Amino acid sequence: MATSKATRPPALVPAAAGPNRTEELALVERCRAGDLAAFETIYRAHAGRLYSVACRVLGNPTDAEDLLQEIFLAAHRKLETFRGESALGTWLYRLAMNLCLDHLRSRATRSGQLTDALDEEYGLDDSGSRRLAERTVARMDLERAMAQLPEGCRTAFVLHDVEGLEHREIAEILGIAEGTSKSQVHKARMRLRAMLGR
Amino acid sequence: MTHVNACERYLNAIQELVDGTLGPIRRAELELHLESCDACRALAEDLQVIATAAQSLEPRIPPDRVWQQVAGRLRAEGRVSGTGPTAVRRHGVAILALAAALVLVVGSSLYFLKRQTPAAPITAPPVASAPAAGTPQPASGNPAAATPVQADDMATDLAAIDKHFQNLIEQASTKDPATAAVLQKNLLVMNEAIAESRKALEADPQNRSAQLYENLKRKIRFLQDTIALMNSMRQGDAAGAAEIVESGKS
Repeated sequence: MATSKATRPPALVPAAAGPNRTEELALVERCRAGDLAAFETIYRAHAGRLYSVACRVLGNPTDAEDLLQEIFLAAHRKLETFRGESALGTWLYRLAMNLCLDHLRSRATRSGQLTDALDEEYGLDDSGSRRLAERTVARMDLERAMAQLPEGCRTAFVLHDVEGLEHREIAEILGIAEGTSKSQVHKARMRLRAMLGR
Repeated sequence: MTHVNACERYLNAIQELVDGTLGPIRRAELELHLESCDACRALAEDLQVIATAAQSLEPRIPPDRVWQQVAGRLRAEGRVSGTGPTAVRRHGVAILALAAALVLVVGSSLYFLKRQTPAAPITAPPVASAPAAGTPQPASGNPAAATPVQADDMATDLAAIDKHFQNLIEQASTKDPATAAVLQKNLLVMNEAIAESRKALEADPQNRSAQLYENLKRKIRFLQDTIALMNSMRQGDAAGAAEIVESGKS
């Protein structure tokens, strides 16, 4: 049986080919000097990936649009602290994930929900009526099902199965144990199987 | 049923097989089991289908209005050098600057409200009235010194700035009556939703504040979109304007 991790790109490396490191630092320097066109170049290179992960982690595009604004406004403020030790894409990705998690915590506090506390266990019997392996899973169906997952396991699933991060990295970003990251991803897959098999 | 319970011990191994992290000894044991167990084989295949589908999801493209709003806020906060359109009439600039400042002031208050008072009842510092110049005053400058007001006061402030947006819509109507009609309709729908939320809040203050908050947030986004739309129209960016109008119809 083929495994999903074999073909993965190195985690936390920006997927899109953007400016190289020297060009990035030059762009950052221009941004610090107030050059809007330079900041737009950075936005165009990275907004797609950050918007995608925000949409999927937050579960809806409207919140993701708001968050994308906040990410780039925060990035512009914090560019003073960017020293180029990591790629700009990695730096932005970490900033985006921090803001994503703040948003989720704030939303959970507002709604008074601790969704993952309500998790049910899914097992072998919860395959639904249709075998997924015998048909194509439409991307839209998967996106819709992902949006219905509890926030904790949705976040871990998006970061691991969609974004390709390692459990070690997810644990670091989310501030959880590596084993918790694994169990959340596993739980998400079982729930998705039940939902997509209906 | 007994068979299913016996298979429970293979669940983690199946997940690790999909992850590609299962060691060779456990993998050989699992593969032996999969040959004889239809349920576990079906599970392994289904989970692999899900993981593969997840990997193949395509990136989503953010609407261009997000960049326009980011750029607008950076300009309004004086953090970037002005690269605005050169062929804009002074009167239009003044109205747009005022409108942007008003949205920023009310939006900042709403953001402060969201961050500082997540639990009902929602309160916020006083919202500044319309500033004379384009530079917004921070609404949450000194939360400790601010007098708390009810969230629905913010709805009143938003209603008070409607007339400035009516001016923008009137400007749009001379160039594009259909667009102006869409803007007018959306403004009306949102005002009705806010009015409904305020009634519900009066009836049940503890439980309805979130609904009012969401409707206020929608209206601020609409006002931001209106500014972005006017900018696009002035710059002759028909595609950008069309995208904003389309998103406003939903």
